[in-house]
Amino acid sequence: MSNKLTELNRRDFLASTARTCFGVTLGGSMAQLFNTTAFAADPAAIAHGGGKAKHVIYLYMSGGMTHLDTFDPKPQAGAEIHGDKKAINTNVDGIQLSEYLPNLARHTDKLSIIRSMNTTQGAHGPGKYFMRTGYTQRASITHPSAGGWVNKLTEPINKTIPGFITISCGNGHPGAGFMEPNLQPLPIGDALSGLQNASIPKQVTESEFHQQLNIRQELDHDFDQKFSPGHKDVRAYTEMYNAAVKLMRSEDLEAFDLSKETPTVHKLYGSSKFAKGCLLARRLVEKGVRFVEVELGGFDWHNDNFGQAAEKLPIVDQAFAALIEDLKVKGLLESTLIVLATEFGRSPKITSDGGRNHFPKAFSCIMAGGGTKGGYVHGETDVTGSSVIKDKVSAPDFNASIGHALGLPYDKIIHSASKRPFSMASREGKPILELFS
Amino acid sequence: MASTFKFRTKIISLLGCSILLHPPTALAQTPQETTDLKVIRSTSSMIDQAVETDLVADNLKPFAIIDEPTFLRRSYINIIGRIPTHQESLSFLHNTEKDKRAALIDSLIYSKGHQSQIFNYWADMLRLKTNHEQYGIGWHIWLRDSVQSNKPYNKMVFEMLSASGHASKNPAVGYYLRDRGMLLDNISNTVQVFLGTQIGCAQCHDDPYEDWTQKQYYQLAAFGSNIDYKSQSAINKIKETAIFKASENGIQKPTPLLANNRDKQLKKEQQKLEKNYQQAIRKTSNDIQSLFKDFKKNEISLNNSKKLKLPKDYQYNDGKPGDTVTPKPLFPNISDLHQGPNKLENFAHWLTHPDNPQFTKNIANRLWKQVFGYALAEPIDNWTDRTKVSHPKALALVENILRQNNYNTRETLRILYHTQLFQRSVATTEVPPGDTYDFQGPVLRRLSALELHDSLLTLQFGNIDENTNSQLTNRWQTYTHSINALVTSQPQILLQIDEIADKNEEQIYKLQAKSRALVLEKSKVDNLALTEKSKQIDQLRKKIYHEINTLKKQTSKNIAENLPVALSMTQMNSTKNKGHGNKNHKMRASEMPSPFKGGGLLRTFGASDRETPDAAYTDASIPQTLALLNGKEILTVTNNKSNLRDSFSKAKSPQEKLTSLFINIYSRYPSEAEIKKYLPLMNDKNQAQTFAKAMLNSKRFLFLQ
Repeated sequence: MSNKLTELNRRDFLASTARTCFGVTLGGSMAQLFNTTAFAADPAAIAHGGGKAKHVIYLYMSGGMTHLDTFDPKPQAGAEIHGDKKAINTNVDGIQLSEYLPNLARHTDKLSIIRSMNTTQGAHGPGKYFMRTGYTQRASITHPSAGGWVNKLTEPINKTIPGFITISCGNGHPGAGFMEPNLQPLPIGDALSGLQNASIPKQVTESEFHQQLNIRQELDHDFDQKFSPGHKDVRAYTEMYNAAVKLMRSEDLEAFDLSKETPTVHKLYGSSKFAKGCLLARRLVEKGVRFVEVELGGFDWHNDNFGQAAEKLPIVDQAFAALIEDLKVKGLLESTLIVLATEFGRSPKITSDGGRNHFPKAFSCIMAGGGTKGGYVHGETDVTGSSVIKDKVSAPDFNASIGHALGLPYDKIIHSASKRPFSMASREGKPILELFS
Repeated sequence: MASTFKFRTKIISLLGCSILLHPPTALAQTPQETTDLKVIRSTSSMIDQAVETDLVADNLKPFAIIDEPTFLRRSYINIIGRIPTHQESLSFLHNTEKDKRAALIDSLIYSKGHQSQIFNYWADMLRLKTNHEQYGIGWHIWLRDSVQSNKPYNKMVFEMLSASGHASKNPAVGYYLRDRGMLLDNISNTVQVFLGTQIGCAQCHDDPYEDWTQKQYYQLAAFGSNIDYKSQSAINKIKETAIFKASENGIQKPTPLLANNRDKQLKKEQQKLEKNYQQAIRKTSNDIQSLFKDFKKNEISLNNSKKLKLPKDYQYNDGKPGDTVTPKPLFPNISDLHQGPNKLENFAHWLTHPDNPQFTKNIANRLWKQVFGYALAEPIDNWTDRTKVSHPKALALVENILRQNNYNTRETLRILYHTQLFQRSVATTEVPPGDTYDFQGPVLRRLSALELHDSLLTLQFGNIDENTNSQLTNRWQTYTHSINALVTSQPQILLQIDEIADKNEEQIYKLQAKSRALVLEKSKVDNLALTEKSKQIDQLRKKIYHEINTLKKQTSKNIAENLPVALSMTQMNSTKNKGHGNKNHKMRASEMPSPFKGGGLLRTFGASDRETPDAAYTDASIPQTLALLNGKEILTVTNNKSNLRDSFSKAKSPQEKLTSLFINIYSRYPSEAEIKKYLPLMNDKNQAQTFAKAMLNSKRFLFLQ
């Protein structure tokens, strides 16, 4: 398959949409068309409000976040669906959120709420995989998640910190899948403990550390002379030792250190692990990291839905709202796309255990900042939140929209080592242009 | 493509006529037999000849034979997956017998450590997941036992590919359960790892690079079309119990009316009775479902009414969407194809047949790579028309050896280890990816993550090859016992267990909800910085946690007292998701449940995530070098109590101390220049530690020459 062809396809798509939706035509000659690199925001994307974001903070709600008790409340549907919970007004006329999200209600003017997510993946593993990669799970290959794609399709801003960092994420995914190892995320287990092994151990002095480095080089002198010229992987270790030492000494390393933040900022985000993850994500984005994914687990509420909601949702509400406020104050909201995603919603009817089951037919995901318009609801579910009745959005569409926000060629074909073709938008993903202003 | 393979076999069998390619008939033929060393050697030298003849033709000379310490380190890491201990190194280096290299190879290949290394190899290839679901433990143990008994390779593969039944009876079903609901992907991996060919593309469309068609793919997958990933016996048992309970409550299945009965009122009543009955059955079935949770899904049943159909978007002329596909093998040129009633057995028979042109070649090529670091044909899992084999005669010879010794992989590896090639220097330049390699010597490679991990353990604890993870075995026994208990229990007993378990669950849910409410309160209190109040809440939560635990124990006890057979079930639940076994972690990686934890040393250094076949990698990364420079794994070896430290402390003079570090870490004595340079450091404990760390950071340690 030819990249040029797909490049054309995407341009065609954007151009024809432009004509039909906005009555404009795209400028630019054919030469320009083929000169667009993967690294600068595509003019075609810019024409559609995309290309403003430089970074992504991707908040993943693991376990299947209820749409009914968060971003798509249905108080009129009756107690067997909504319990005794209320929907609250927000700072945008006509948009209501669930009562669990009072802080986000103050920032709804910055949220693009997609209420029409729809997939067919009803189990956690395959569902997470599909949402993160836009591909269904295959035993024969591992697809990259959005962070992998962004890392692949952009040039790094910061030369000492990896472009894709995950915080509190589970084993295996998200990652860069079949892509080169240097595109794989740098995993941070716990935001508060930061980057592992990045400082000299307590019992070791600075001069001993120096000595350790020097002796290592001496011991390898003959080995390097013999093997370095002919072996890339031998040279790679020299490079990685240098890079590690550079990172250890880099001023940017303090990006990983949350103690540099004032108590007021800590208080703004909250005391949860997730809150610390969001705060760390903001610090990393400030230093030029392209993509940070923060995971919050524990949304699989098969019993005691409202009890668990009361515990979990305030954490999300506080940290997400804090992130918006904080990025806004720092002047980074326009260049940072915040995404909140999950693998599926929950079944509307409360079960006999007081819980909700898995529900991929209809659920909500959010985008904010990064050039998205805010105060906007995309798609709609029926009166009980059981099915999408307007503007269905698929996982590939969702990923394409992230790509579009960054002005990336989301349909550019990248081949795996096994020569199979893949793209950020999967096979059929199209960005939701209405999200962008 | 299929025809080309056929053609290639022809060439090779023609070559097979020459004496060079026939291994001695005296090769051991059973798993436990060992071939006489003389026979091994003559076979090994045939392989050397095959390679060296090609080298002469290309005007190349084999590399020099390596020195003793290099041979020592290479043999240990390659054959048993770790560096030698201090004592093991000394006993080899000081051994004055002429044949000591051969003796070392033989002692290593029959050791427990070799089993560990080979287990890791199969586990990566098969994507073994121990903790996926309960079947994983059984599959892990099955694989471990297969390696221990040196099960013939073709038999091992046959057992997995033909496996059906419940995991507790036939743990080899793990191979299919691993890809539950993903038959097409499983088939794609099967072809990739056992036949070295990739047909993954043809899953969705005719392969544009090779000649596989989508139809062929589906025909191959159709061998497994009757696979059902659930247990029929569990379903029956649930039904039996539900019928029992219904009848206890006086609800019977209504006797059907005679077909000619036209009484409308009666018919209506009949329908109502039937509905009541079905409702009662459904309710009980749902109630006791959870008891069977771990039982029901861990089985491969064969359901012959299940068919494989061409996909909805099928676009080629040789079939229509929705057409039922009948099984057909990829290379059908085997005369005695097995065609019994069990399709999976037919499939396994075809795939492992000695005349299958790819089966033997694939494993021969793989074993070669395991020994020499690079395969005769690369990549090992993507044979195509364009594949070049660097030494076709050597490959044919290894294939013939495997056919002759009944796929005894251990004895085949032994022959490869006894070659001169294994004792030659490594190449100073890398082979460009995908190119063929001349094999003037083996290739340089980084230690695998598991070899590195196990070598650090060796420095810490010495030889721990014999330590096995007894907890895995215990967990599996508990599981199989509990399955047995379920299958044999009477319905009334099952209902009693269920009731106790339900009561337990209900109370625990309530307590958990209470605990969650406290967490919420705590976060509010924390925001207002009310430390005293926050502490009180912590104490309350501790109390609730304790209550939950007591409740769990109490209920297990209740069940145990009333129903001894069910005891194991509750035990099983309480040991779920553990299994790192002995607390001190004195176990080699092969004994640990896999995949290994993300973020740990093993995964940081590229241990497979067990998602795709052979997914381990050895590429450098920053987290690796950070872990080497500052990580606790290195610091533990050099600064804490370890074998390395012990032997360092016992050494009296600075020279002895330096020697002890060199023998322990590099398996060799320091050179004159090294003694001169580093002796002064040995007088100071801290400096010696720094030196030891630098040794462990060095590429001399990380790479295998």
